[in-house]
Parts: sequence; C-alpha cells; structure tokens
Amino acid sequence: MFGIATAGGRRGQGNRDWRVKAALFSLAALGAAAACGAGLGWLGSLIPERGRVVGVSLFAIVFMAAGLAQLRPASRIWLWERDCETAQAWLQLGALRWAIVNGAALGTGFLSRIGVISWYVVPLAAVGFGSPELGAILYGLYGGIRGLAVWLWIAWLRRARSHLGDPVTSVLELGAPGKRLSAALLVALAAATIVVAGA
Amino acid sequence: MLRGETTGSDRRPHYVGFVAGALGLGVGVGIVGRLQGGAGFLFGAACFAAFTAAILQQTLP
Repeated sequence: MFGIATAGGRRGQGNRDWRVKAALFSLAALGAAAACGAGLGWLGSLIPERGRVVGVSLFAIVFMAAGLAQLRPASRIWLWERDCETAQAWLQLGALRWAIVNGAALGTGFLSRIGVISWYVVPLAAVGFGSPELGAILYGLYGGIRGLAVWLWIAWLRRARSHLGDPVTSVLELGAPGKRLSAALLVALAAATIVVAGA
Repeated sequence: MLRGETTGSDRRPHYVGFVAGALGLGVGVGIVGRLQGGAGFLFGAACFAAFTAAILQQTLP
C-alpha cells in the first residue's frame, strides 16, 4: 500500500496524483470483491436451500472446533493460513496498473496473503446465502474496507511524515492477539450459525 | 504487500476498524431488510466478520 505513495515515483509515474492511484486501488478492490461475491452467490443459488443449510452447519461445527483449539491458553496451534505475498513483478507494470492489479488481489483476499482464519467466513457465507446480491454486498464489504483503508493509511503517513519506526513495532506486536480475536469471532459466528440453522 | 513492507500504523486504525465493523453490522442488516429473523442476524454477523477480517488482514504483519 505504501507503493501508492512511493512506487509511482520510482516507476516514472511519480507525476501522477496519489489520489488517482489510491482511487484506482480502492475501486479495483471493491469491484473485484463484489464480482467474486456475486459469482459465489450465484453458485450458491444453484444448491438447494436444504443442502446449503446442511453445508453451512457442518462448516460451522468445524470452524467452532478449530477456533476453540486456537483460543486455548498458550495454544501454539495456528490455523492454516495462506502465505502469498504480492508478486514483485507487478511493480514493473507501472504505478497505475500496479494499483489496479494489487487492489484487485487484496480485494479478493485469496490472491493475497490470508493471515486470519475468519477470512474464510466471507466466501463461505456468500455461497451459503445463495444470492448474487447478498454475496456481492458481503464480499464487497470485505474488499471495500481493504481498498478504502489506503486512504486512512496515507492520511496517517502524510501526517506522521514517516514510513517506518514505532508503528511497525506496534503492528508486529499485534500479531497473536489479532489472530486470537479472529478465532474468537469465528467461534461466536459458528455458534450463532448452529443456533439459527438448528432452529 | 511486498515482503518487508508493512501497512504499519499505530493502534488507532484498529479502533476505526471495529467502529466500522459495528456500523457494518447494522448497515448489513438494514440494507438487506428482506432477510428476516435469524437469516438477517447471520448476514449482519457475517458482515461484521468480513469487516474484522479485512481490518485484521490490513494490520497483521
């Protein structure tokens, strides 16, 4: 994301207003996510409602067990996460294309690093609700937040006038609590799903 | 993110994210008014999970 403010200058497009790059990044993230959600929702609509309820219930049970395992005190169990860093080659595309491609990758989630288990709720819920519209809204919220976060980051950076330093340390320290928070959220959502689906 | 890069910031974005998540929960249920009862609640909760996952993914190293 820092590339929005910095990579352009190294790639000969430094004259581009950072707002243009940030807007492309945000729109790409939102659009790609909404498209994914609509597609998954459409796929879900092909599954009979009873099948979706059963499938979602089974996933909820698995998620609850996995989340509880991670929440145990001093647990060293970290649920599966996909390590997929942004391709370095994308930097050769130039700042504008980089903003679009990287924004789309972050918006979809599965094309970038998946660092929290609760991400899997997004595509599964999009399928489970079985509606392209609901899927687009749900997935679009995810991608939209990731895409729009760039504005917060840049605003902070412009005010702080620094890219590195203490903020990096504080973010690294948040790794484990953040994952536990993700697991707790997963357990709560799984419990709610089981209750609602069973009613 | 590029390796070695970070979306680093102080802790404020987390609070911003969770406020946004709470709003998303309400907005999700509100927008999709045709989902009644448990389905509407689950959709709102899924919206909250999506918000939280997005914020955490932006801030985890």
